[in-house]
Amino acid sequence: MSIELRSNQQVELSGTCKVEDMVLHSLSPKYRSLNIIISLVIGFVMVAIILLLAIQPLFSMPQKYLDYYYIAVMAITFLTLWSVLHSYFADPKKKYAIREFDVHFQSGLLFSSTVSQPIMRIQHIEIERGPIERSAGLATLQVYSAGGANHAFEIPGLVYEKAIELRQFILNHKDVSQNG
Amino acid sequence: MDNSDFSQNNEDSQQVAELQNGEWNKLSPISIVYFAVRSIFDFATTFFYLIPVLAINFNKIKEQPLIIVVVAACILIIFIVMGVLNYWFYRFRVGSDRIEIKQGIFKKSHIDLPFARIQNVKLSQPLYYRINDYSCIELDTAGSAKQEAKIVALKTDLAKQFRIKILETATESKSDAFSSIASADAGAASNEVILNHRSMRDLVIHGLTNNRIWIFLGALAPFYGSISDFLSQFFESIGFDAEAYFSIETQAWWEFGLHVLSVAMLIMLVVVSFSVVGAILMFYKYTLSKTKDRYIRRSGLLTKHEVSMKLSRIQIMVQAQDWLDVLLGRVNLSFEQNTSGVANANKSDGQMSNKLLVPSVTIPESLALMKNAMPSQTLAEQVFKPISKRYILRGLLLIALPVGGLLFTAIFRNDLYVAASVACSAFVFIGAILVIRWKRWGYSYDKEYFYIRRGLFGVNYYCFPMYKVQQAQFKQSIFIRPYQLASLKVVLASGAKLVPYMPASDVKNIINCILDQLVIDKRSWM
Repeated sequence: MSIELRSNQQVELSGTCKVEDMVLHSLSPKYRSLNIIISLVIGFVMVAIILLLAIQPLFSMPQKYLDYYYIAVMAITFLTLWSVLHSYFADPKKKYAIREFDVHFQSGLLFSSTVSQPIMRIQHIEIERGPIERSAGLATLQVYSAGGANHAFEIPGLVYEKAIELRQFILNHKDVSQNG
Repeated sequence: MDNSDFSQNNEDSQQVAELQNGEWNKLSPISIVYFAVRSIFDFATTFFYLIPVLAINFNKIKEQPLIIVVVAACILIIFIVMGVLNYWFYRFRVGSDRIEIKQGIFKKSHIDLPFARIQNVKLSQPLYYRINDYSCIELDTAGSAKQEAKIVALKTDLAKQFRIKILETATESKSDAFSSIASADAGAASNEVILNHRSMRDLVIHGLTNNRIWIFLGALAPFYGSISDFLSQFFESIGFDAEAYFSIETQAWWEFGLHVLSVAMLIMLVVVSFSVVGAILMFYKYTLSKTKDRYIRRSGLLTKHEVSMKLSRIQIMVQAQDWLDVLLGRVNLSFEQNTSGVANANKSDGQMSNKLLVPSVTIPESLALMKNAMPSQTLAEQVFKPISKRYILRGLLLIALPVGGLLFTAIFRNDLYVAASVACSAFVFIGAILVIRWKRWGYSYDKEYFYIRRGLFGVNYYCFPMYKVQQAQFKQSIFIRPYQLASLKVVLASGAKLVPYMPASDVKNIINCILDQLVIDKRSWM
């Protein structure tokens, strides 16, 4: 609101960086392999359970199950392959960029989107790490604005140290500390 | 709650000062009524699903009227006791900058609420408070729903003074730099200007154009069974045979059609008149007034509602027009504030505190109100740019083609020609709707504001300042990338807005414009 802050205008005018000209950073290369491994493991476990139920000798399954279980196996195999292929091609498309006053995340293979989050509108930040992410040293940065949880800004597959660094950059940002 | 008596009263401010002595206060005993009524409502909502069970056993129960009387009396006594206990355990204390409320019989709660965190102060006056002129004050906070606080019974004059006091304290503590101005204007804060009021005629129009019958359908739900019984008995008693009236065999097709039409008209008439009554119930004596920095809406026939919204909290202005509104030249104007964390997000729009609705105003009135809320906005002069015609193509491929195909495959075994004609007409019909929809889509922007036009038979206009944007998204599928198109999604605190199939260069421009503006403009969105 005050007059000193309005002088920021010049900074932005001298910097010619438009959203479309930003330099985008890739996520950690481990991110894609991790996603593929997770898909494969989940698919394998589900197929294994279905198969085991069908061939185990302990108790008899209903006849309908024995007649149709191969359809479920095929469907799960197809979905697993689909998600592996999708991770393989789509994950490298996920990129992020940090500018002086906003953060951006680009993603999508067929339907691409670029989400731009002004730092001034950030309400709080979380770093989320599941057990698998932890074992790979990765983290997901989640940024919430007043737009609600449905529109949380998220950068997955960051190296943990990088995620901490990013969070610190946002927390130290004067827009968050003064105007946020 | 008339505005005429809204003057700064020394006696009242003295009373407010007395309230702020730091002692724990008790409510007026009239609040027992409030608590009892509230526990009846709570009970009714909790045991709503028991109503069918009672209805099934109604005949059995009917045989023992004594039991009904005893049970009803017991329940009534329980409610009254609950009311008394709630009243007994309710204490509130007002400090110089905060309010504390202790309440609860079994589950005690202690709310400590600084004035500075109060976002919204609502006054409501249920019917039974009107005799002694008491009011409830509801304090909305920006945070979670659980923090919501309510002072259940205060004299209306005192409540009004108290509200002014809270709001003044809240604004003073927020802007220290302007505190001197704020205190200078403290007297002016109570000087309300009425911006708009709705006459009975306006409310009838509102009831006609906006179907408010659900208020009645909701209230009548428990009695559906008995209503239909009553109707069938009534028809029998006047010698009306419904089955013969609607029998295809005994009458000519045009006669049958006429009968159906007349019944439909009759139902429409009932629906519309109920809707009008609903509109009057909700918006009776509607006034929208403005103080220094907020809008206050007052309305209601049985329970009077008073909702106030800080001007700076308005995220978006929506001017909505249904097809009937278009014919009559009326619009529903609403000012929306943030939805996240609002306690009553699922309430009907009449009571919702995140929306300030001005029902069925004329277009010049609406434009004037919008100008008042956001003076630099120029919705009236905007020339809207159309979106790409490929939007129609997408609809044809994704909706019209599958629907036509399904209809064709469903019918063609019986009759190929009928199938073809039905499928074609469905395709053309959906296509026509898509064309209308495409024609309604439009967007426009200037240095500060973004404007959207959309609709189908009606038309809605949206206008929001770009600096209130929380997040912007550039969306593009590979199907529209070759044509340099993209969709823009803008997230506001009141919800997201999407404009599909714009030129990609425009989307980029707008996003750059929004982000660049936030670099310079450090105003808060609140």
